[in-house]
Amino acid sequence: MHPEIDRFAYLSSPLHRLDPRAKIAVFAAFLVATALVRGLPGALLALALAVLWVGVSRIPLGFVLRRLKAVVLFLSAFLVLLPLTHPAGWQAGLLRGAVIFIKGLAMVLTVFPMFGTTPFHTSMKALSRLHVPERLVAMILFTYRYLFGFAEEVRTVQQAARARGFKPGNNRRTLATLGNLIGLTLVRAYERTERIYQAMLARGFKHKFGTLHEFSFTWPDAWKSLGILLAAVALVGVDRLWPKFFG
Amino acid sequence: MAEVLRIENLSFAYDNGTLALANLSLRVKEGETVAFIGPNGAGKTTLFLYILGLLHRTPREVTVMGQTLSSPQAVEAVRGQVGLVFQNPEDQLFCTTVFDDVAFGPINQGLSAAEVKERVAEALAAVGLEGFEHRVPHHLSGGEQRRVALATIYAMHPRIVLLDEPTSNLDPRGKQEVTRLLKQFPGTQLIATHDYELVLTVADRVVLLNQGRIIANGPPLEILANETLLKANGLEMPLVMRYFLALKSQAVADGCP
Repeated sequence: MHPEIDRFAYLSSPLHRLDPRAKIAVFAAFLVATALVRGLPGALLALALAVLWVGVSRIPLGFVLRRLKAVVLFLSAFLVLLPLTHPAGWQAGLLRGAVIFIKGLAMVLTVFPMFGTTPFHTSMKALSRLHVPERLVAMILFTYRYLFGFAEEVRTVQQAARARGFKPGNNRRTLATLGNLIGLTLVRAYERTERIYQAMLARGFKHKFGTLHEFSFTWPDAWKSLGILLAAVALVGVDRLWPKFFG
Repeated sequence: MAEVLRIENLSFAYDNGTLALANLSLRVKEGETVAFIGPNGAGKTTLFLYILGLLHRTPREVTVMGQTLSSPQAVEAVRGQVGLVFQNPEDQLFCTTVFDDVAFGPINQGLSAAEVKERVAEALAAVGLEGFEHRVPHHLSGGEQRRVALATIYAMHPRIVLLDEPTSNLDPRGKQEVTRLLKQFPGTQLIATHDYELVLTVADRVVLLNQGRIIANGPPLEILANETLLKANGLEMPLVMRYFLALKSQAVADGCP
């Protein structure tokens, strides 16, 4: 299975039709607003809005959920660790952990409609048009592309080890073997990424991204963008005003 | 026929000191299909990467269509004229749809949207993959991936195509399809391969490489029938040639003219 985020970029939804430059800009604003949220009500609203964006994008829920597994695992660490370490006690720690967990989940969910409804190359071109430096755009593109190469190398090396009867255990030999496997994977992935880069150069790649996508910002784009921006503003507003009225 | 590629006294060593190409000189005429055979590590892939300036920014020993590659600008210009099909198509296909992958080269050549679309349609038709535009390259079969990889190069309308092991890891049907495509290609082709069947079907000339040196350069039947030469360079005579020579000697022994 390839973890490409833009597998459903060719579906049709109001977010698919939104101008990619506007899409990236307004969802970036929404991500910033989510990051600014401090309380639980604001975090829950951010999550609800992120779920709404995913729903509107028509990206299959199964696809999204499968990719959230690792994120949930990572964010769960805050739920477990903060109640144990927070200076104001376990209840405050749990609340803080829950806010971080929900905010994190909302932000990752937002990335799906942000980058999953446009072919990745077009998103990169949109970033360039938004005056993100070409070097940074190139780094994002290569990181994204090389992740697949790296994941495949990991899979191959794991299979080769298992095929020769390797079973991880709690001993020195396992550590030594894992060390070798990690080293080998890195070397192979490096060589592979080198070949991919050569293949791009051989086809005339000059560190600039071309796309056939003609960017155009229309009235429907303006209304959709305004809606998402208002949601971002409302999110911060609710987060700041909630303690005053209900706190 | 006009000369499209000339290599003069090319030597190249990797950073670790391994000499990959040693004093290699070669000339290729327009429309010729030259097969490079040799044991692993003979320098076949290195030669292709070198020609395209992927190992050295200014491969001044290489002249393509009269243009010596002595500047990065000359190398960039030549990349539209010379296409390279990598051994592993997964190294070559990095976009999320077949269309984007085939369009990547023509877009880099600065063609208009209409021209790019036309080139993509034409290249996919040439490799028999019409209707594959929105398919995900990674989900295709090995044979289909190889054909898409060929289409990514054909779409750039290259004068010379370099193919690194174009039939490796393919099932017989995939091999047959790729061989047919190479046979039909009207331009100049340089093919690095261990597939003698492919050599006998498509090549006009065979260059035998070993340790970065050209050991032999001549007609396929002449080189592939020379068992002593092949064995001395770590290669085996193709089975079909062995049968042919055995039948011939049997016929001579039986008194046939």
